[in-house]
Amino acid sequence: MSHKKYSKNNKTTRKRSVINIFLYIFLLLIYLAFPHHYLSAQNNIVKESKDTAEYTHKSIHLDEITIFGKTELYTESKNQLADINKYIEGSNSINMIKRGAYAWEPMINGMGSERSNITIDGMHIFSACTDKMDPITSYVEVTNLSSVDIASGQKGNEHGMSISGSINLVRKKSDFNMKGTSGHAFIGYESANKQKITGIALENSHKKYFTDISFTYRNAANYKAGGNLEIPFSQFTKYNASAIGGYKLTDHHIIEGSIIYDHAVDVGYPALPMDVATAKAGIFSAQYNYFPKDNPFIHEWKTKVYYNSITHIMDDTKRPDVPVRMDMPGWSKTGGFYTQVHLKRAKHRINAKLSGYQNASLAEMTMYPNQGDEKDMFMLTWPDVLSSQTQLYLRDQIHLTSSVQLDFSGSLAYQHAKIRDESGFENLKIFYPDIKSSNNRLLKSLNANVLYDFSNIELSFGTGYGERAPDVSEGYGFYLFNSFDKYDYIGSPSLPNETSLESNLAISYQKNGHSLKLKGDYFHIRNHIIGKPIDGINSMTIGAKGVKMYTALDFANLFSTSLEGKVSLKEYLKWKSSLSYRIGRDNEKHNLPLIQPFSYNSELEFSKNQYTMHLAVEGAAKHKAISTYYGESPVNDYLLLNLSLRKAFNLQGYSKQLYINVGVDNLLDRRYTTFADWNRIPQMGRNIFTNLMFTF
Amino acid sequence: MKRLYIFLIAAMTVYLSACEKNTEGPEETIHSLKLVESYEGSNEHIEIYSQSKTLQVGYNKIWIKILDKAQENLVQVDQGFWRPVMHMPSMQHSSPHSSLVKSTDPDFTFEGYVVFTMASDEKSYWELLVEYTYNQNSVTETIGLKVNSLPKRHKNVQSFAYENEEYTIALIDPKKPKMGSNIISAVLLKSSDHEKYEEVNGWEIDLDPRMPSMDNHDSPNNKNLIQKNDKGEYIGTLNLSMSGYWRLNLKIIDSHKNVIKGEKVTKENEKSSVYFELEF
Ligand SMILES: [Cu+2]
Repeated sequence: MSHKKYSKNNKTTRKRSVINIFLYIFLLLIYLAFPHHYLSAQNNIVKESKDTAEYTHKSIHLDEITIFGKTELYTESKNQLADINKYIEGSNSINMIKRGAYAWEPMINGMGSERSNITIDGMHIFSACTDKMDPITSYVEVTNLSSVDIASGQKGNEHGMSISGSINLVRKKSDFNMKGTSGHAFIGYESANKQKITGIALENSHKKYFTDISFTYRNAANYKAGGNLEIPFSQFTKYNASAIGGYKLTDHHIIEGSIIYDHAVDVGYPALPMDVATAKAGIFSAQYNYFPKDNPFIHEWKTKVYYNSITHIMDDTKRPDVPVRMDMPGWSKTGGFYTQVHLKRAKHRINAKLSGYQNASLAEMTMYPNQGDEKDMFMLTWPDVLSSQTQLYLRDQIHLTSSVQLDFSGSLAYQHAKIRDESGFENLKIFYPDIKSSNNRLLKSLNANVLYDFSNIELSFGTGYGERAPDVSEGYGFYLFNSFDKYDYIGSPSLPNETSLESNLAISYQKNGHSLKLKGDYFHIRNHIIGKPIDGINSMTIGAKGVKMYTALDFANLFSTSLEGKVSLKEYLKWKSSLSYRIGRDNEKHNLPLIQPFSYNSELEFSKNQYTMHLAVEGAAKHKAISTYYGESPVNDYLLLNLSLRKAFNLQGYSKQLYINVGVDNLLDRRYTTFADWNRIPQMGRNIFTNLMFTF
Repeated sequence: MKRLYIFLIAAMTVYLSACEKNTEGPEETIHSLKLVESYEGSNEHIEIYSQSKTLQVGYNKIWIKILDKAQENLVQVDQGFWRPVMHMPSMQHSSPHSSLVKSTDPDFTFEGYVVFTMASDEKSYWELLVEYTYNQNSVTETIGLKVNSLPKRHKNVQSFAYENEEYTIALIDPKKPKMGSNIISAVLLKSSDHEKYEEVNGWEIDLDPRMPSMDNHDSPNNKNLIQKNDKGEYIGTLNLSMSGYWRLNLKIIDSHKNVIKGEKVTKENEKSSVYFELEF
């Protein structure tokens, strides 16, 4: 199998150069020895963009991480045409599971997508791939978005019932500002995978209406890992088109409509035995906003209806030497609504939301026998499961004093799940003769936080309780092969709800453009859902080690911590560093898989005369706490050096700009792999990117 | 404000209308027997029925009506006996069968089953010899039968020799296999003279279904066939996790727990020497 090839390459990465170790020690020394008085010498608090709605969290840089600003996303990043994966990866709360160059799966606080909620403008969308090849983040482009709101743990309970938190992708849209037509066009090239990127966005803004449209195209060949090693089946092509329009009925009534169409073709997943011929998403929504004129309480009332449909065609037609040809397509369709009011009353800021959705998930597997006249072998891997959820959410932010704020939120959700396909239901009965085709669950979530905002210090601490229902694979999956531990997985329809008790603490100190922020999140998860091998049952997938059934562990504990520092060395020179580390263990003290080892990054930012330059190092220590028990293999340490430069040119006065951006990621062409790389595929080697963006 | 309500109502309508459609109820299997053959006797009219319109290789449950000449009423007969005979150019032989008993269904005279071991063709043909007593006269009628062959990969009967006797195992159910759990049933017969057959009781048939085209993987939680009723049928559980071609490897275990036929399937041994086949 293809992954065997990679283990050999890992050995080559082990040959570490002296420079590497040197840089690593140097960085650590800087971190440990950094005197606190240095940080407290100046004034001015580093605040991240606060132009999100008034009612989002007050201390935005403690709790919710907005990765990029309202419109100028490209000015924030080192590679202005980087795909969304790289933007999200910039957050300390997030790790990305990589199965190739495309569609990385975000993990929040060390937990995979089954424990989080990923929404687009609050819309629930569910992946259609049984192998997690299509996280929701893969269906948008950065040009569609104004921000990515990441909320840790139960602070994300507005967007659904989850354990680890939520990622809400907020779409970019114009206002009714009579700016007329504006937009930007871009073109770029990346050397490591010959990626060609091009696109255009047009905004049309008037007094009564606005329309925004955008189109992005990406095409990449196989990427090369360090040492010029081509990683086969890592190519992709992606088209993304998006349109959004608003119409002002009166000053108090606005209607909006929005469409995203995302179409990826010929996407390779080198870490998996299968690729994707097509992944298609159509995401539609209509929204009604009401801003009461003289209402003393209601500030805003938003109502949205939406529908989305995802088609995921997975097969192994391009792979040579497969024992049996196989197709594994999947479909996911979701319809839903929400209606949300923001109320203001004295010290209270209340956010109430009623939401509901219905999702149908179906996936099948067809195998084509080598004997021509034999019938195809077929089964459902997701038995057309219809999940409906209705959720009531309430949040009250109480501004006790100008510097103390209490934040309470709670959610109550009712979930109904039903197996609609008869043959899929019959198949599950092989394992569970007494199961019913449907089940109901009541899910609860509570969160309480206290925020202190003193002149230089911000402190936030809190606790939360949350519950989630098993996802479709955990509940109803049938012989789903997991190429990570090489087991076939069987869902368990009667799993209890997974519950989590969490506590979090964040302290930040800011002065004179310097800042230091320490963050910790602790999760005690009961009924932790994970696959355990079952004896006496053999695998179906050729080459699999056995069968695992999803079971609920008594408990598991996860702890995440990060430290971030920013220093203004000179007006034009900033130094930014962060360290992060996680621990995850089950009730028998086994390490959990895919838990981030000690990782760091550090960068210098130089900006002057419309030049911005970044010099960055990033790396991780050797992953010692690997989860051999759950089938994880070792990972070595690595250190990368990245460099980028951008120059802005003003054209025709200041009405138009041209941004030229060049850079190198992995300058030293290291062959490396991280803890989150599926089957330890080596990551991209030296990648030189150049791109142009023209805004008008 | 009114607009908001309209919008809300529209939103709720979309949500609710997306609710599930009623799934259709389980498929009703109507047990109606089909006429296979009718035969004009000297004093009576004989009709042969089966669950399908044709007879085929393997286990066939058969019902017989013996009617008066007017073909209106069943006639009173006693002491049924039957014997299937295969006529081949070089030889003739019988086939495993049950004894012919009075039917429990008042619409029929006799019932029983025959395990046809081969199909009729241009040179070979089947006859069913039926004997009974009618009006104190012993009647013997010979009725020609057409037995169809099975498609490829549908083996449902196998004979083997053990201690000077010929044993035959024949699959009864599932006739229409489905994904999931199926009830599997079979009969096991033996004969020392290829003429008289008797059912073997109190044995066990080990079941190991495999998919040869997918590296011979198995399926979980199957149950061996044992006799659960006094009809002589062996009944077990057959789990089919996929559609396609399955080989049901068997081991015949006698009442002393000795395996008298069949081998364990391993990496090296792809199949047992006694098996059934299914493809769906
Ligand atoms: Cu997939």
